[in-house]
Amino acid sequence: MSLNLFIILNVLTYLIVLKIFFSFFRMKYYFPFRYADFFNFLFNLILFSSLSLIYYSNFFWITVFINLNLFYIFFHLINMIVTSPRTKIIIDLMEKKNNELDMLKYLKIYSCKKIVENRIKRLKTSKQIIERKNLIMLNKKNKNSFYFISFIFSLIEKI
Amino acid sequence: MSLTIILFSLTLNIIYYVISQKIGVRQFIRYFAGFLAYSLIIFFVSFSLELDFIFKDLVAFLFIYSLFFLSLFLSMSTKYIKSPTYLIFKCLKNKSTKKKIINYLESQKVFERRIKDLKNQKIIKIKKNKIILTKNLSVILNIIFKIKKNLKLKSEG
Repeated sequence: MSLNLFIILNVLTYLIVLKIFFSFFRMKYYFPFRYADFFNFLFNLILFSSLSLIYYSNFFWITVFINLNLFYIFFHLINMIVTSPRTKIIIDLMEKKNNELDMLKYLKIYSCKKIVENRIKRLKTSKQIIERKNLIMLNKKNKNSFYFISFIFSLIEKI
Repeated sequence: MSLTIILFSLTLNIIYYVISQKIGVRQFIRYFAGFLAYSLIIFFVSFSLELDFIFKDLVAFLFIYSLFFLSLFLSMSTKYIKSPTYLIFKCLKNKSTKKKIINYLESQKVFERRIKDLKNQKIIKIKKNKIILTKNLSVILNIIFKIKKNLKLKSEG
């Protein structure tokens, strides 16, 4: 098998197994990662880096980085589809027949209130926050991952 | 050899990313066109400098080079528009109520900024209070739409 075919096979397997894992795990999280994303990455990393050690030992690190990149790209893309307000607006437009929406009507169903409610729901499910007597606070038991993500955000901003 | 290819393609991508951020390229089309031009220049320079390690494993190099491009590109949006989750986190450093968080996000013009950005990217246009999807980036948007359908994802926003 040529190296080109090996890379293509890696990408195709990544996509197919991602689909299988998504139908199995759905949207289960171990914050901030989805099980489907994480286990798919591990599966492909172990499978293809072992194969590359056997057949293309010179390309072992390339195989590792291809899978790391695929993990990062799909993690971002799926996050974008599920949580990004801009992607939601675009998808809502794509789902409309004429690709157009009435702004005032749309604002009634999707606004800051909806954005906050969705996120609070997700953060509560992943146990990053807790709500007590109408007060929302960070869950100190789990705060490390949320702090870590916030640190990553501020780091990207600075580059 | 393998590590040289990785480091070389990552360094080239970081250089392009940093330069484009310094000169304020935020539109995807401009970023992508600039990247193609930059890659062509790199290709010719590498060819004239006889950097054999690239041409010997050209497919592997091009593949990892493109993947680094996508990874860095996807990190770009978090740089300019603060994610609502990040804003909520800022609010929650002290205890807060849902109403206060909503007010904070409204004061940060979370929704308006995104509509403005989509307009600047020429992905949507606004006519007589209607948001209309343009044909720009339709290939990329269709790919995103296909991923959503295929993985049965729900776009919650």
